[in-house]
Amino acid sequence: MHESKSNIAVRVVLNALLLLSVAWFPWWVSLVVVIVLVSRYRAYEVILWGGMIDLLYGSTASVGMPFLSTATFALLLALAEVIKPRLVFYSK
Amino acid sequence: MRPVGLIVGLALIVSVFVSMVPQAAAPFQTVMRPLWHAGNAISGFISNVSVSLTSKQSLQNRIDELERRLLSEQQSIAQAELLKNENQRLMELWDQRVYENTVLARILVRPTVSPYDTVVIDAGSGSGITVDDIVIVDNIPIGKVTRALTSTSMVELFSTSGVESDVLVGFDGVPARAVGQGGGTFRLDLPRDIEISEGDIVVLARFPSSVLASVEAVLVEASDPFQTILFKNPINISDLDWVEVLTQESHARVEE
Repeated sequence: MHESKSNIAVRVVLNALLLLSVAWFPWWVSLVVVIVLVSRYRAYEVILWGGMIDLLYGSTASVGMPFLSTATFALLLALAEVIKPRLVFYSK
Repeated sequence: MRPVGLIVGLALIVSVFVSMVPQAAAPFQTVMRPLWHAGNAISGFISNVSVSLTSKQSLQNRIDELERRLLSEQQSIAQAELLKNENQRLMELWDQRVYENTVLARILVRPTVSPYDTVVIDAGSGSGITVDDIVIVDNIPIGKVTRALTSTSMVELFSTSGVESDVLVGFDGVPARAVGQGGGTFRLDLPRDIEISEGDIVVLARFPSSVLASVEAVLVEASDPFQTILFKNPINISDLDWVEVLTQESHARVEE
């Protein structure tokens, strides 16, 4: 699948926005950006972002799992890849 | 779907192993530090500019809101003053000096940014900070260092949801285990025949010379053999810019 230049530009902008949200904004903003990314692209990089969040801010105390964000983002990616082909308005 | 599943599985396995490496976060923190500092600077600049751009009515509304907050903060200050005086009394009782060689650190990341209710400060092992060092504000403990890199450290708040801390409750120093509920609040359960009252002091067992909180509510049900004690740390981490870290050297002086 060949992505157009505009598609690539949008993906780069979303990833830049994700970087800023990880640094500055409440955690749920990052979650929203990830949802937009995985719904629009097969964005494997969200797993790396999840790993980064876990390494930067992770604590085992509150949730009992040191890689919760990684697992959550990976799950969102997997779910998106299952759901997207079943949507009527999804274009490959 | 198969390649996605394979990649997701591999990523999870890799993340488990990477999370076990203590210094794995170092390169990411090196990248993020300038962003964190820039974020603090920008938010300060925006709040200064926004004041000059708002209408008179907006400013009046803001003044009214701040007056309401001031009243609420004055109540918190009164409670903090009570705890501070109790702190001083305990320290005199224990014949201990005021803490020396604390490390002053700026807060880079507040709990709202972190999904795990943790705090990142801009001092680390290079300043003598080590894991398990206590973090205090106005001599009131708020958390402990769980990761100390060279120039940054991660602090886990005692009140983070699920964090358990050994505490001593009340005048008799009843030992108990408190569980953080998030937002500076704690709860613990004690047998109902132990007399605990609102306003009783709670201290950390490992840090008995500083008051952690005071009891805000005691919940008892007729059919329950236990009573639930609720207490709240008066420090609002969201309003803070600076904290102090008691290094191991400070601990050694305190225990002399």
